[in-house]
Formats: sequence, structure tokens, C-alpha cells
Amino acid sequence: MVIKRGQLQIQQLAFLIVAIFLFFIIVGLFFLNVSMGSIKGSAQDLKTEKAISFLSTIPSMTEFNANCANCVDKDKLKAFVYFSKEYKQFFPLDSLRALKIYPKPENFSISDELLCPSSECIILFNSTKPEIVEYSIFVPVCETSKRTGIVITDCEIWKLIGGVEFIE
Amino acid sequence: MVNKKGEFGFVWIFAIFAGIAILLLMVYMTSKILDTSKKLSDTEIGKSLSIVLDPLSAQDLRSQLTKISFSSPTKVEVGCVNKGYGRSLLTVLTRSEGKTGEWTGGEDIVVADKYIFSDVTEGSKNLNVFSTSFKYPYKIADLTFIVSKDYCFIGAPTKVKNTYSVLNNLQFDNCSEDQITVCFDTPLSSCEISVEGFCSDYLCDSEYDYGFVKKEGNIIPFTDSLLLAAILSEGSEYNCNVNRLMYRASKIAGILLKKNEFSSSRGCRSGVAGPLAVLETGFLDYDPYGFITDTETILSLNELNEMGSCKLW
Repeated sequence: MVIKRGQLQIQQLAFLIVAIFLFFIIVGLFFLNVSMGSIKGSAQDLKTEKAISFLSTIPSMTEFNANCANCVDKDKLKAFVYFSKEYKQFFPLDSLRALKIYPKPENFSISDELLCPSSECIILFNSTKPEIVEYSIFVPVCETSKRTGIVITDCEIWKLIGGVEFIE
Repeated sequence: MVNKKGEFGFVWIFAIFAGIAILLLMVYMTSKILDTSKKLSDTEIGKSLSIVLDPLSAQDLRSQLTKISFSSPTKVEVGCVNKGYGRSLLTVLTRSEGKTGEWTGGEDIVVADKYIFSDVTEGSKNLNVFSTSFKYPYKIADLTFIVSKDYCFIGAPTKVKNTYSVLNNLQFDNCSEDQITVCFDTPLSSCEISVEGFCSDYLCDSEYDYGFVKKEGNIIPFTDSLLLAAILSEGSEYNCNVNRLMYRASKIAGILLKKNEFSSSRGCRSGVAGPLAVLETGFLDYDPYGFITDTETILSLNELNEMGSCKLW
């Protein structure tokens, strides 16, 4: 009878220890889940911030810059498409495209959306994921041509749209 | 009764050991969580630093200086990975406790679009970040310099003075003992670093448009704004970033050639397409010693582009 009571006490203690242990593990898991959520949130914020600040530097990059301050060269935009696969690993953006805004574009689809890709919409690179957040800037896009011996630069207003994928 | 006492004693011993084990585990887990949150905070600072550096390259200004302040002494370590476009690696380190504590850092932040040269070896609350563009012959990128040591340039030409005068830890000619002395073609025995310039073409702004930087028994070839990079960074870091820059230069040459194809159809043909094709292949695996042999040709290519009615860059 005495031995049985001792065994019971040890069992009670063991259950108590397991319960305390499980309690701390559950509290720990809850804490981890909350902190992981905030880590993901701040990682997404930093990724977005980086994408926005990078987007504003694009017009000054030699790969895009025309011979005027913060202008984008239309020919360079078209040329970039041939190199975009390699540049994608270099850019902190998951997608990048350029759309003509002014003068009013003409290449519209039946559903009244701008046809892409076309001469008025250039897809520089695309995201593989459907869910992306997009940010945009307006830029003057210029094209130089020579007519009757005179070099003429025509500029239009385009929109550069950069996208970032969600962190899962 | 004896038996009961013995069992009671065993239960207590068991409880004490289990309690100690749980307490130790909790203390261990708490310290791990604290370490992780510190690493997380350092990593966030590193990422923020890489974002703060972005506007420095967004300007069309030739060079500019920014001062970044931290709330506690911070050390920034810069690494470089050289493969294709490569990348710079930024690691922010902070001290765990007091002034004597160990420096611990966050995860490496990958910055693919920056070329960072640094001389930071000690922690500081302020960082001087200097940015200037690198042209060869077209603008390839903006170089970022994180400067912490004090330098004194002796006999620097006007162009060098004008470019770097904004740096507040750089002095010209009147040197004090604690500064690192950099001599321009005056091989004084007291100089820790000496610069030798070779540019003699009429297109040169100064003879230091290209040349060698001699330091710690090493000879480092430079051109344009890579002069400061050669002065303050380590040899391996310098070579790695030069390779990355030249790889990008090759890709830019490819884009410019394609642009020339498109604009030719509108009557705008450039006379530099031929040499550009050579640069596109030549800049891949470029040897920095090429700066010594090629810079004058590159300058004349830039001149040729400037003279054309349809400029490629």
C-alpha cells in the first residue's frame, strides 16, 4: 500500500512536469508564430521599400537612360528585352513593364485594355507568380531620329511598372 | 516508515532534477531567442542600409556624400561575390554588451545593384558614404564608398581635389600624423600609398585619369573613379568589383549595339558601333591591367561618340 502511494506521487509529479513542459512548448510555439508573422511582414516591407527606391533609379541607369536627365530611351527599352533574362537576377524586382500613357495609345484589345506586348507596351520581364504587388513611376520616354539631316528627339509619357512577389 | 521516508526522498530528488533541467532549458531557449532577435535586428539594419544607398545612385550628379548615423557603434563588413553580375554582401555588426563586448552580426544582405568599396575595420556611430559614377567610356554604374579612415592626399591634381573635396575625412597637403598619406607622383618615404599617373593624351583631364596605386607592396591598376576604390579597398575586394563592373559594361555595350540597330532604321546611325562590338566581347573577363593599355583608346571612343549627331550614350 505504501509502495503504491509512492508510485502515485511519482506519476503525479511526472504528469505535472510533462504538463509544464507542454505548456511552455505551446507558449513558445505561439510566440514563434507571432514573431515569424512580424518577420515576414517586415521582410515584405523592406522588399517593397527596396523595389520602390530601385524603380526610381531606373531612368538614371545607362541601360535605360536617354541623353536627358531622368529620361528613358525607347530604343534601349526595346533592346533591354533581349538581355532581360540575365538582368532579372540583378534587379530587386520580380516583374517590370513599361506602358505608354501620353499621347493616348492606340493598340487596345476588344476589352479596352492596352495590348501587351506591343509598340506601346513593353514587357521587360515577367513574374512567374500570379500574386504580385505593383508600383509605378511616370517617365519621359524619348526616341531620336534623323529627318532631312536634322536630329529630332520625340518624347512621350510612359509608366514604368515594377512588381514584387509576396513572401509566403 | 523507513520505506516511506525513502520514497519521499526519491520524489524530491526527482522533482529537483526535473526542475533544474526545465530551468536550464528555459534559460538556454531565452538566450537563443535573444540572440535570434539581435541577429534579426542587425539584418534589418543591413537591409535598410542597402535601401538608404539607393538614392545615392539615382542622381545625375557626378559625386555626392551622405552621412549615415547609427544609435550605437556599428561596424559594416562588405563582401563581394564575383560571378556574372555578381553581388556585394553587406553585414552589419553591433556589440552585444558595453564597449568590451563581442561584435556580432546579422545575416549577409545581398546587394546586386551596388558596387561597394569600404575601409571600415572599426565600429563607429557615423558612416561617410560617398558615391561617384564610373565611366569607361559610358557610365557603367555608380560606385559606393564607405569611408571611415582619415586620408591626406599630397600633390593631388585639381580634378582629384574637385571630385573628392566633399569627403570630410579627406584632407589635401597639410597632413597630420594620424592620417593615411597618399602621394601623387611624389615618392616620399613617409607615404603609405602612392599614385602614379600615365595619361598623356590631349583628351585626358589629368595624368591620373589612369595609372597605378601602390600600397602594401601591391600594384593596383585603376582608371577614372576607381582611383579611390584602389586606395581604400583591399586587393581582392577591388578585383572582384572590377570584374563585376566590366561584366555589366559588356552587357551595356550589347544594349547600345541593339539600340544602334533600332535607331539606324530612323536614319540615326552611330560611328562607334564597330568598336562597341569589340568592347562587348573584350569586357568579359577583363584584366584590370587593361586600364593601363586601353584608357586612351576608350577616351577617344568617347570623343567619337560625342562628335556624332546621334549619340549612343
